[in-house]
Amino acid sequence: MKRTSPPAFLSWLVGRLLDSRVRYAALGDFDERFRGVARKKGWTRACLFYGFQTALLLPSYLANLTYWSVEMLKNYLRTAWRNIRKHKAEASINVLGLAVGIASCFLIYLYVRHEYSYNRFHTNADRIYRTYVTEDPPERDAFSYVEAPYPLAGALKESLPGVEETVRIHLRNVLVRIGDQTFPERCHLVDPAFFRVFSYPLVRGTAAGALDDLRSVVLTERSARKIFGRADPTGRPLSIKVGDRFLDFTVSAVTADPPTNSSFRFDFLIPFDNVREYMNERTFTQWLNVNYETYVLLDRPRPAAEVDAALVSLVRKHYPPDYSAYVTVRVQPLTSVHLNPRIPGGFEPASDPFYSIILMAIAVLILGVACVNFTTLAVGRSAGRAREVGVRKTLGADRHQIVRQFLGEALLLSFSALAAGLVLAAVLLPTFNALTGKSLALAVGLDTILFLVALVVVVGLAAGSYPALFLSRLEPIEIMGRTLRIGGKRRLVNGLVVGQFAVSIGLIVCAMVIGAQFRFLVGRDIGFNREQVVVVPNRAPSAERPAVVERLRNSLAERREILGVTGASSTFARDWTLLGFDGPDGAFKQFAQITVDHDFFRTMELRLADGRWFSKDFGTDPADAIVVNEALLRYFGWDSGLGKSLPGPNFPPHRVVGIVRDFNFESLRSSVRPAVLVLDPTTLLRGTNDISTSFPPRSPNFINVRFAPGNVEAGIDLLRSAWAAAAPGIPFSFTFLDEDIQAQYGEVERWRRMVGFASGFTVVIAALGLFGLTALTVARRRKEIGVRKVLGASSGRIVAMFSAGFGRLVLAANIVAWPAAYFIMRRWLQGFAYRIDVPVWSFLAAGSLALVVAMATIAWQAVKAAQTDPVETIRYE
Amino acid sequence: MRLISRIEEIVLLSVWRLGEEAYGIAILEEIRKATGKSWLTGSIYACLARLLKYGLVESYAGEPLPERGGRHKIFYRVTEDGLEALEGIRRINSVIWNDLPAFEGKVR
Repeated sequence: MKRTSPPAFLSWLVGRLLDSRVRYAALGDFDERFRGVARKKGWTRACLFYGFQTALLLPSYLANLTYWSVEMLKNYLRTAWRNIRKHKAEASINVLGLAVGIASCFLIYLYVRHEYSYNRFHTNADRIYRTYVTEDPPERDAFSYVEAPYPLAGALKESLPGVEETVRIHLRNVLVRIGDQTFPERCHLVDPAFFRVFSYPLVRGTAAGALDDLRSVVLTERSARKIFGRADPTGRPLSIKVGDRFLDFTVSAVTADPPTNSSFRFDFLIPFDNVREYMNERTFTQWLNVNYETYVLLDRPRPAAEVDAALVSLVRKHYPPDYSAYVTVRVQPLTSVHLNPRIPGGFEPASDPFYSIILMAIAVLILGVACVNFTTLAVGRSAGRAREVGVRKTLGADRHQIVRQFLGEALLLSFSALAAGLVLAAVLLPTFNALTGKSLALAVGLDTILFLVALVVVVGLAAGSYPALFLSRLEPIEIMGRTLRIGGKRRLVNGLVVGQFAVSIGLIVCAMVIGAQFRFLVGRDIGFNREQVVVVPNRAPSAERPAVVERLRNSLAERREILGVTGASSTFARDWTLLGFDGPDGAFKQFAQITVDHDFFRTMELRLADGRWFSKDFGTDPADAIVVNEALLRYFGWDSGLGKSLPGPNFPPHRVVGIVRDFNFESLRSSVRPAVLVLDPTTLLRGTNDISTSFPPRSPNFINVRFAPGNVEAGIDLLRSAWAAAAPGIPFSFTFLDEDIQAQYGEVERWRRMVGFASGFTVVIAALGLFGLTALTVARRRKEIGVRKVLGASSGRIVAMFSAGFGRLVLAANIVAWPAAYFIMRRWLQGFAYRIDVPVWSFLAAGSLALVVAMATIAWQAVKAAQTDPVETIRYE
Repeated sequence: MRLISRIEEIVLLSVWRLGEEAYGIAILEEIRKATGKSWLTGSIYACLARLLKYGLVESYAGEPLPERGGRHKIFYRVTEDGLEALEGIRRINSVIWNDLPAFEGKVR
């Protein structure tokens, strides 16, 4: 068959280039000619002939197509432009609403893109993995952590196939001194392979060998500028106190500031082996002492599961036998480090894809409300356009073309909205950055352009498809003959308006509930007095820390501006120590331990539930007295705690001398943990084998100073000079405790503002839509109003009629919105240990707010319509 | 009544002349004989499509043949309207060709 008939492709092409009426006949003729030529001159020659003929058809086809397409385009544009001119208000409503929707989508796109781009800029990104450990002991829940033991890196290099490099990382707060200035800084200790594994370009010096020397330090542009100003810092000396003493380091290189989507936000890099300055040698061989993040570079990208499998034997080989049964060491790809909420963050905070999802949902909602506006207004306007459609169809347009015309108009509007939307996005960017805690920029790259184009097209299609399909279905007969009833569409429009207001009301409720929860959290009694207290981090060498507190206390003792000075091992949600032991019934018990001094109770204004506080009258207190909180009593199921001891088998003799009322020493997201307050931490440490801590639990790490109400400024100056005397050379900084606590809820506050904005946008857009709809309705029912007035209706009645009509819709929107908002807010509140019940008033408030806005929108036009002289409206037309 | 174009006129007349055998390739051949030029198949068919659209010509099917890949031949014949259109053109032609002044601006 092949050798006698023309190639299928060419036949098809010819067919497409010809009018459908003659296609069949022409193809037959072409075939006949083809076979004629094939018979005489061969198949190939015939194909050439056929192809030639086809090609000859192209120019006129294309010319025809282009010409007519351009003509039609001109016509459509002209029509669209006239339509916009005639209904400026409606067009502006559409453009405005769509612009807000586009701006929101764009900003949120930037956010989501940034979130998902974390750590992908490294050249080796697909080959880098971070280790994490999961422990699943019997009787307890499984938990994971990303800190790894010291020897893991070495073991990986030795037993895991395909390992090119390993990098251990530790993060430490150090003091950096140059000349006579000392700065507290964050310092990362990294293996020299750091620059071979990760891609942080250097602006001075070379990466190879930058961290070879033990006392070399790599700065970033920012830290270099801060310490050395504009001078070239390479080769300069820098004094760094990593452990207990200042050591001389030399600046070997400077990197560019790490990009915003890098999980590592570092300022100083020094070689990892400097951990010897503060870590005990014994821990270097222990597998149960975990401190460092360990990263590994493989020779090629491998699925994590494959590496995990290979690690099983490693665990069995190195971990003590009773642990290896429930310890698993696994890896996660670097690219998923930022967004995997199931694995805790590590040194650098990680994020949750949840945020991205919520934000995307918000973007879709806002955009949806705007698109719905377009649809409802277009349907409302359809009586007017119907005539045009009728004429076009009579003149020969088919349905396809009408659809294309209206979709084109929607796309045109969408593109106009793009310009306004981009401007709006630029204006809103700083606020958005503040709300999300990022510093995004309106960078214009290929992918953003593609996104925007796709967005505009989707918006145009989404908004315009219903009107396009609806209008194109109209037949001239119906239109001209006035038998057209678009009343049936009323239900759809009403439904859409209800939907819009439901979204707005839902968002308002959420904003109100979040706000209420925030106020509750901030105002809640946390068991101690947070006002007028500053927290000073104690950066003295650890052995000297207690002495510093003592000196400070003594020098400020007589001052009436200072009411109390106390040192503690942790402050509100910063640093922690958890001790665990196996209880008498074999169940694992865990509690928090806070090391305090005698003044802690008085300075923090705690409250006692029973017994007494530590007292200098009892000399044995440091050795054997503990104070517990009420939560601990509940935890162990004691009725009265005085005189009791913790039921661990290895604790030295001790007893409870006092019980304080619960106070929040951790984040308010979690409820108060059972806690033990001690003067000397070693008392209990000796009796437990399970310690989880963020720092060596010996020193008072934080000093809380309470000021007398009134002149806080003077108090701070006093404190500063007292500090200079008590801790010479140690930098002084402080934060206000109540601000620290408030900052904990920064996230909640930011969500409240975000949802508040979203609700504001949707309300405005929905109201705009309602405004337009009212205008259309009023215009359509002019005559009816006139007739009613003639028959005796008062203006008030008319206004009431319109208000009731639309008011009904807003009320119906409540019915839709309340259950959804309630459900969502209840889920969200469950994430807090201390929470309010979903307040009833928020629903009523949101509903009323929406109703008031709707009424205000309708009012002006309804009143104007009601006051029109019937003579104007009831004219013969 | 719409005035048909030159091309349409030629095609219509060829269809008329061919009678029973008026299909694409035959029309092409006829035109080649009359004008001396080989028109493109495509333009013939564009023209035929227009004539069909305006009802000046109608098509009917013939026998399927293997030379045409199994398709049957489509024949065309002039309709009443087509005849009228041709008549109209001819009349107009005779009118406007009649009694022309001498060329080159010499007043009659």
